Parts: sequence; C-alpha cells; structure tokens
Amino acid sequence: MSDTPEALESVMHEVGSKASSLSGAAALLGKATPAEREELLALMAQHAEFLAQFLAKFKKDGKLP
Amino acid sequence: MPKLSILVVEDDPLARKVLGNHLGGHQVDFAHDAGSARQKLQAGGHDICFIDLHLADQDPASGLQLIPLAKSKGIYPVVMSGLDSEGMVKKAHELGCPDFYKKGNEETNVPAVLARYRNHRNAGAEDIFEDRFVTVEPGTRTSISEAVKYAASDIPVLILGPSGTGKTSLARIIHDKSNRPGEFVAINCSAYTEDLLEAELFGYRKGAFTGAAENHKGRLLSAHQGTLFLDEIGAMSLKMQTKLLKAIEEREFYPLGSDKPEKSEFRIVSATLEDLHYLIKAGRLRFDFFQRIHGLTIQLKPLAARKRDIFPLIAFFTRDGRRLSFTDEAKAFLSGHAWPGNVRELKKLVDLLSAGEQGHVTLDDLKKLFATALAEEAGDFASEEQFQFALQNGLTATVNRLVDSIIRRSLAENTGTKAKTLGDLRISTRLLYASLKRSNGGAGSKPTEP
Repeated sequence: MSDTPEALESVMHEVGSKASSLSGAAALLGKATPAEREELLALMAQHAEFLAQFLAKFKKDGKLP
Repeated sequence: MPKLSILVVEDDPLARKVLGNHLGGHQVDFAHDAGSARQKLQAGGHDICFIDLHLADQDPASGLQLIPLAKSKGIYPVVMSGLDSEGMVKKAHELGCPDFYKKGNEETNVPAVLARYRNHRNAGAEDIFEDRFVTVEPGTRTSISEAVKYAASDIPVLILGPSGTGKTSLARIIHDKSNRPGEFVAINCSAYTEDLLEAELFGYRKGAFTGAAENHKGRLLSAHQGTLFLDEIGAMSLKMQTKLLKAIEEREFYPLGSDKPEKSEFRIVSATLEDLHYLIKAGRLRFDFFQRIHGLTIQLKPLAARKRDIFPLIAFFTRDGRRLSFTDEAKAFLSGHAWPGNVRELKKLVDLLSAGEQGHVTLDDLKKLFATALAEEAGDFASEEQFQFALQNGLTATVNRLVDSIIRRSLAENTGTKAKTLGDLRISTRLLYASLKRSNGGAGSKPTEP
C-alpha cells in the first residue's frame, strides 16, 4: 500500500470533505420538507457510495481511484 | 441583519446544499468550479465569497487562486476545507484571506464567519465621529473604533469613564453597529434599591409582592437578541450580581413569583465611573461577575483630557441652530476650564449661550453664566465666596470652616451648653470636640460636660 504523504493527505482530504458533507446534510434532515429530504438522501447515498468505492480501491492497491 | 450577497464556490453538490441552507436569508449564488467562479467574481457585486479549497481533481489547493481576485473586487474571501493542514492555512493567509475554517461544523462556523465579516465591515468608524460621537482626539477615536470593530460579536463590553463623557452614547452605537435584531435596553443600577432592581431586571408576576398589580416583563426579557446596557454597574449588590451571573451563563431565569423559567439571549454592555479593581479588592464586586462583563474594556477620557474636542463639540451642538462665536479670551477660558461635568456640562453651557442675548460670546458672558450655573446647581447653598475658598484651600478645609462656623453660632445661642448644641445639630460628641479643637487653634481639651 502506498503511504506517500501526498497520497495519504489526499485520502484524508477526500474522506474528510465527503464525511463533513454527509454529517452536515444529516443535521438538516429533521427540518427538511419531504421533497428536500428526498433530495438530501439521494445526494448522501451518492457520497456514501463514492466513499465506499474510494476507500476500497485505496485499500486494495494503494492508489487513488 | 441586512441581506448579504454571497458567492459559494463548491464542486460538491451536497456541500453546496448544506452551506446554502445555513446561509438562508441572504442572496446566495453558486459556482461549481474555478472557471465559473472567476467569471462571477469578475462581475463583482458580492459581499462574501466562500471558497472550497479543493476544487479540481489534480490540484488540492485550486481554490486558493481565487483569493487575490476576490480581494481585488472588495469581496471578503472565506476558505473552507475538509483538511486544514497548517501549510494550506498559511498559504491562504499569505494570499490575504482573513478567514479559513474546517468543514463539518457549519452550524457554528457560518454564523461566526458572518459576524467576523460584519466586524470587518464595521472597522471603519469614520461616520460615527461626524454625528454620533464627535471627537477629533486620536486616543478617543482609537477607543471608539476598537469598540465598533467588535460591535457585531457577542463579546461583552465594559465602558469606563467619568460622568458625562458619553458612556451611554457609546453603548448605543455598539448596539446599532451590532445588527442585533433585538432592542437596546438600558437600566441605571444606581437608580434602584436592590429589590426594585431585581424586579426591573427579572420581571415579575402579578401578586409576586405588594404593589405587583400586574405582570411585568423585565429588562432581561426585553433585551432578548438585543443589548442589555447596565449603567453604573458598580452600584449592583453582590446578591444581584450572583443572580444576574446565573442568568447570563444559563440564558435562563425566573421572574419574581414565577415557577416557569424565561429564556433570553442578550449581549451585555456595562458602564461605570468607579474603579472596578478597587471594588473587587473591597469585596463589593464578584470577580467571576467582573470576568463576565468585560471582554473588551473601553476607557473614555474626561473632557479636560481632550480639550481639542471642545470647539468641534460646540459646532456640533449648534449646527442646526444659532451659531456662536467667541473672543480669544472666552476661548482661552473654555479651554482652561476643568469641565467636571464633561460633555454634558458643555452641552448645558451651549444651550444657555444659544438662548442668550447675542451670539458673540465674551469672557464676561462666560463668567456670569458659570457663576449662575453653579449657584443653581448648589441650590444657593454654597456661596461664591465659599466656592472660591474651596478652590484655594480645598473642599475639606471649606467644609470644616462651615462646620466650625455653625457650631460656634449654635453654642453662642445656647449660652455655651454643649448638650443642647449636640441635640439641636444632631451631631456626635466627637465631631463637636474636633470642631472646638480647630476653633481653639488645635489646643486639645478634655470634655468636662457633654
């Protein structure tokens, strides 16, 4: 697995950004209208899926997707 | 709060949605990449620009390149990032970006950014010196500007200064510049007994005490989302300080006679002419309460220490009415006066001069007015002779002379019977013999009769 500082920093940034967007969106769910909630959940699902793929690839071959 | 025009440069659609939600109430524009952001920044018209640090796949700091353009358009740049490495933060600051926060806590960060922007915008207080707090004195201008710089924050402000120096005016300016939606609520703590102060501050329910004929809202609740100005805070009792401290910390309190708590969020501005450090040492002011009321301390100078302001203030007071002119001797007199009543005293003098017979003021005009004003203030109790004696010999010597004179007369009328004098004048034996000692030229005498 590659653990160059740049690669790791990139992973940290990507995960950090996506995770913060997810938590920020989750905090809005309670106050959202049904339509807004649906939109938020769809975007959250895309982020979660991206993160899962991103981390899986990085774990597998140490390279950024 | 006035509506701001905000540009959000963010390639993550979910992040755009989250930030857009937290910027509700403002006009928000979005850009998805650096290219479209550059076009919108060029067009200008925005107040603030939130920039995601990592906009492009290859360049983890692509957002930084937008900072110089934003600044050149007078737009306040804010960088946000999922990763706040020290190197990136330093680069952003070096490019002139004043604000950088780590994503993930928008509920706290976004209001804080908006407050910092308002402070940044308020940093120039030049308009205030024209008509809200007239001063040309550099030290006072610096103090006022400092207060205005923090007006939009929640930092408590403590204003120190003698009576009549503009403490209330400054408190009001701070509130107006804060853009807080609530009211400016003032209370003079020295004007009330402890019980009445408690009732005024916390409010009460009908029947809570004798005289509580109806519910009363209370100043703490009236100041919700506004500013609570506590004037003469040194006069507040320790018990009241304790109760108010709890209300400030918990943002919740119980009106008198109520078992239902009220909530109120207010910003504290307080003022006093007393030396608070002395009050703490004397045990009259709680240290924890003092810590709560003074995030920023502003010291206002007496007018005698900023004499350059005398004539600008006179011009300001007369700008909409009768203009005044002064002989050189009159000007010198005004500049040399001690102004114990500070700006309030000057305003009163200007009102008298404006109502006078002529607008060209001489030294004699001023001397007459000062003698009249002082006689009025003293209620004709202190004569001009006594006042002049006090100026030459000090107030203590003057008071002693008056005391000795009255006691001598009383003794003469009572044919020397000290007991009668003690009863007539309602004084202590100690005071009587101290006076006799002075009158006898300091020779001590042991009392032989009461």
